[in-house]
Amino acid sequence: MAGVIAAAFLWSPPLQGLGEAGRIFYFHVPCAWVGTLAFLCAAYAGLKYLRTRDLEWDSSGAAAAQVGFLFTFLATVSGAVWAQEAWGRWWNWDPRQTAILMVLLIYGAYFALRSSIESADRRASTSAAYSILAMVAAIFLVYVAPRLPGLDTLHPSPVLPGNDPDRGIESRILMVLLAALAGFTGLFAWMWRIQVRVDRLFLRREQNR
Amino acid sequence: MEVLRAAAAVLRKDLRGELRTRYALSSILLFALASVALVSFTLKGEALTPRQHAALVWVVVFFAAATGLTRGFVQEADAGTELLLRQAASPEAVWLGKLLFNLALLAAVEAVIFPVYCGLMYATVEQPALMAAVAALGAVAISGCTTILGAMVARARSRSSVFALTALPILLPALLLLVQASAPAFGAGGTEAGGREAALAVVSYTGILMVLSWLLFPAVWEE
Amino acid sequence: MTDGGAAAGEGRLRLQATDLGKRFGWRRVFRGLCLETEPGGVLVVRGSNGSGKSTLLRILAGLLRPTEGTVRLEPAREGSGSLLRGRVALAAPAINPYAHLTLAENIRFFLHARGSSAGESGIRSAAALVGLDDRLDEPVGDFSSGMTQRVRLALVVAAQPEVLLLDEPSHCLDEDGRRLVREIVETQARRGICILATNDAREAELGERYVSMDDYRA
Repeated sequence: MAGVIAAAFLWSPPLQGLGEAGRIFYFHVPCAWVGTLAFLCAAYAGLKYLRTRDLEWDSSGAAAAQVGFLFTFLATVSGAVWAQEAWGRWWNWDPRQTAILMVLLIYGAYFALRSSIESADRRASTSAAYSILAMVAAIFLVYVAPRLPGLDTLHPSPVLPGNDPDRGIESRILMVLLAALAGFTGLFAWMWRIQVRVDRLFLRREQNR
Repeated sequence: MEVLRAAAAVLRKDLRGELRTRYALSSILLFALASVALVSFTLKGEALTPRQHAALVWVVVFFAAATGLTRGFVQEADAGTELLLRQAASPEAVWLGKLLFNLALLAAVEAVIFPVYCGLMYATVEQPALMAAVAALGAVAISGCTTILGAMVARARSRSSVFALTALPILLPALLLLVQASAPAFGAGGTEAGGREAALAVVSYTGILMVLSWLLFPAVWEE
Repeated sequence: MTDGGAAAGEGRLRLQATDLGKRFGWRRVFRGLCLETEPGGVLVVRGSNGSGKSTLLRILAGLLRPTEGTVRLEPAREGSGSLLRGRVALAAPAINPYAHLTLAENIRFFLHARGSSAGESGIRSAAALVGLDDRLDEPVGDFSSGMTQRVRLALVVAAQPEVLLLDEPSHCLDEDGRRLVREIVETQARRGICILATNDAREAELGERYVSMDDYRA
């Protein structure tokens, strides 16, 4: 992780047309990626819970959502900072901003739903079903939002321009980005495991009471 | 077939109860009328674009629906009739019956809200037929997407706020598209093909969510 | 579990629970419960408060998923989605009729939704059995608690289930109501399976066989 951060600041060339602020790219993109990944993991854990009715899967899904919420929030904030630098506005209802706001909303609703149900079995089945429904809604929105008029995206659509003549700099950007993605994914897996273990400790304390 | 018969029994029972108490209908209707009145009062007859009209009217319908659509399942939980219903009908029949009930409720509310909104806001509906079609589609979409949430929320505390919170992300794609589809009816010119495309997208989205709800509902409803 | 007895016992009604256990969240209620019952005698489930009598009845009615074990009703019937719904009926103090519907409408709804043909005569005779035939067209919400308990009994009797489960059937009932419960239990035991959950000594007298939930405490 430290290597990635150092590389992001020192080794990688500035992104074309974005200047030094573009370095936030190596932070913003992996955060968004992990937020989405965690969201898929929560929905998968929900499906597993409904199949097995094993409460371990429920706490696993909740833990993924907690970590995912953190990363999505960071992606939103870093995105807004970057948007201010690059486009001159914090927020402009770009489709990807809409989509990430939607993901944040879903996480919020998911936590509100969980905290308002007392029975563990009901909480588990309800939030599992909700995470699956919400995932479908989010996928749809990501594909729908860009089709609405007045919402043309400012995000570059292939995230990396593929046919840049200056291949050397290009590959350095790509390498740092891939390393950052891998690093953040590893960080997510580690945080998820810790969160699951913390939840398990709380549960055990509750059982022993 | 058996499912349809049982769903019809559930629908009949709910309609009969609602006709006697008018609890859900009156709460949704009053909320909706109050918000239309508030919007019209604060804007004081300012001229809005067709798109703004479309957006406002659907926002009013969404929040009004959020106050009353949980009623079906919440009442079962509060009155202790849930286990009777679970003994009587399969989960699929319960879901379908409640969905049809919510649909009837929404249709009744929209039939009042749309004319009142247009009257108070001086919105001219240039294509009444299209408007009616989109309104009907909206009722199907809202009830189809949120019926399962009603059953989830019935287990929760502070239900209507949790319902609004959970329903918003699920309904957001449909609402965006409904606004898109109803804008031409308010006279937004030249986008009728776009409106039709949006309506098709609403149909497919609602279809997907209804299939998913059908599959997930037993897991939510049964314990 | 496939045993040769299934073919031999053709047509003979039999409710069989194997190795049942139930946990709510992480709290275990009971485990390792086996029971088997056939038409003829009444099975009485006893046990101290919180030992899981009502939970067991809900599981047997197919209203609650057991954490472990299986419930089977033989001979198995094809077609219907759930194994138990439509063949089993449970009356319990926590299961209320619809307050805004009349007695007749409650029974009609219950029968229609279960897919049995609801003849008006069936509705009338079920109401007559519990002594409420003169109140058929009154909303159930206006009834006293004893009368509401009679409505619960009327609903399950009208459904004519193969397995009748009664949780504290004399709840709130007067002497006449207790006689009524006895009559219902005896009739059901002749036609099908009847299981009672109670700690009431007089109700328990109706039983022929007993299960004590305290034996399966986790």
